[in-house]
Amino acid sequence: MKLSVRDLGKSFGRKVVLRGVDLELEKGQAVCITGPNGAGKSTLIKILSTLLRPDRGEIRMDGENPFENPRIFRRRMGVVLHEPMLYPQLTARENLEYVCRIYGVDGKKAEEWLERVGLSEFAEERVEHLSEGMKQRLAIGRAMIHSPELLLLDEPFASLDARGVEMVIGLITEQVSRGGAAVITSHMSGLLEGVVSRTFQLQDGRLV
Amino acid sequence: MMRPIWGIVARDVRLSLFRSESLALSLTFGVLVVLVFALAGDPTKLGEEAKSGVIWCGFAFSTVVTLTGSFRRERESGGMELMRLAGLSAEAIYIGKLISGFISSSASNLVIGAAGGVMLGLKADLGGLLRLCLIAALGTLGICVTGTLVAAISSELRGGEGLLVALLMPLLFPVVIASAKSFGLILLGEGLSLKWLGVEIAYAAMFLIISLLLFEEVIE
Amino acid sequence: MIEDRADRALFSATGAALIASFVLIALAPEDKTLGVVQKIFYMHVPSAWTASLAFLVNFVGSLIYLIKRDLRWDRAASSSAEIGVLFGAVAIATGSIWARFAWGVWWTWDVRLTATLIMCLTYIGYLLVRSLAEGEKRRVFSGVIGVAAFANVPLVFLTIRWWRSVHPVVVTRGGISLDPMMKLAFFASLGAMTLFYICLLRVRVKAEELEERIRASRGGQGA
Repeated sequence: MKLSVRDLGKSFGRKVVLRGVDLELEKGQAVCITGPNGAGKSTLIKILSTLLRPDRGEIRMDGENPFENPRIFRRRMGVVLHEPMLYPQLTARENLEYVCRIYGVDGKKAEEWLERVGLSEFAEERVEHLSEGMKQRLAIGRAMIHSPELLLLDEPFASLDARGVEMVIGLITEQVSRGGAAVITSHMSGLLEGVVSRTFQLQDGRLV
Repeated sequence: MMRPIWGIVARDVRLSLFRSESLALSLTFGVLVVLVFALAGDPTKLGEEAKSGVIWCGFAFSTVVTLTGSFRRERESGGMELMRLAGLSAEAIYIGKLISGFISSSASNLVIGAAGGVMLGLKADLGGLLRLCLIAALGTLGICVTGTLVAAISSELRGGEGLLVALLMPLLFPVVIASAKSFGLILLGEGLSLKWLGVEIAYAAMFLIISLLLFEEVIE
Repeated sequence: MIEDRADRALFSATGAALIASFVLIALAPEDKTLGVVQKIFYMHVPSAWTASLAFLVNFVGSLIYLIKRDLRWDRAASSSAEIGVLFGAVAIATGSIWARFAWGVWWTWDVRLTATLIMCLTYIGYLLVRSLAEGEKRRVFSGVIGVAAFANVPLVFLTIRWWRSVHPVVVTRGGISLDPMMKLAFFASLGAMTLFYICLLRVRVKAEELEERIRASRGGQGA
């Protein structure tokens, strides 16, 4: 998916969080956005996922404005936010099976992705009993299970151990080589060297 | 559209009936309401109509607890965002939540009705019992139709169950009155009242349409 | 607040109407049985009517706001709801007082009275939503409640009327046969109260507008 962002602005009350963000992304490209806490990285991801509306600016996905028909565009994205969007009282497997149902994807993928994120052993554990790292892995599985064209990952490495980090990098690399795109925010931009084509700093509400 | 709706229903029912305290909570609440009303007066002196009223108070408040819990779970787990990200239409989400809410409420209302019936000494033959179940189902449906819309609103605001009660109850008067009256007439042996049945159906239909039209506004 | 000609005309007319109606009420003959207390009727019915009008305006405002997202309609809707609850409370209070003097009970399950009470409770819920939410959420949520609340009205009236017919109640309101002077006083009061409502609405909407401007300049999200 081709992504084009121009002059994106967003404020919360008096606080100006994004002040003119520009970004271009082609198929098969990944970018990393880094910056201090509170810089607005999460806000940017939320806006790109169309869950949040910007105050000004323009977003184009494959030439169209996603906010005009958000439902169609949302299905083509895989999103990981700060909140894992998992039901704590369901098991890992049940969570993924549920996601398969609502995305209209074959239920067998749940098993496949449990394997890929290294949680097969914990498939029948309730999410509330999983560690933060495992929840994060599951969340990433949840985001990718429907083969999205665009990955939006907000701090995907949070709580992950070395193997987890390796897994995520592998998945992002695969996404890119498949022709998909990815926008990743992370403090640890170093980890993504070689995977992403560009790294930006979100400073003062702008990407540099 | 059916598979995602079924997905929502299955997930929600599993959560509310088997994985959380939700059922226990709404059950206990409903039975307590009936008990308080009964004990505050003399249960043996209540007429059939008054007893119906007491049972329907239990049903109404218990359903509110069920709906509050259902939407709180969505809020806490980011479930609403997930459903939106999956590209589900507002109508599909509404219908999914409505059906699961109806199933969960019916489950607890069944128990509350049975317990209340025993405590208050209600008598009905098989035909009467079936009619009571019909009215209970329709009334519960009506409550859930409006309740799903309003709970989606109140779950976004501070105020919890109290707010949902304050917002929803005034909107429920027609269906609660109709249901309680119907119950009363059936218990008095007068059979199914078509006019109250009509009110229940009209209420559910009207608010179903309104909710389907307005749900999108609420969740976006 | 009294800025332009139209407002001035409105307020003057309302003032005049109110004075006129007071005079007419005072001049109207007392009811044979109830005496001077019956005159509370001139306040009770018009308040109930005005409350209904206010809720209708809220419905229209809410609906149009949801469709067009024009802030003016939201202001009109919320202001109208507040005024409606106020008039509704007056209607209930005066109805209660009248009942006490006329029939010895503080409450009659009269259809209109009961329905007015339910509507007031419904719109108090509306106002609760407005106080608990902010920004666009506040407008959309209350708009939805406003539409649902009014849609409920016909069924509320219907069910209460049927409910009542099953319970022969102590008192029936019945039509009051009004002599010409009473009729005049009644309609004058009705007209004056309606004008009063329009004035209050105008003032409240303007106040809301100013509040929004203040909030916006402070950078609050509540605008």
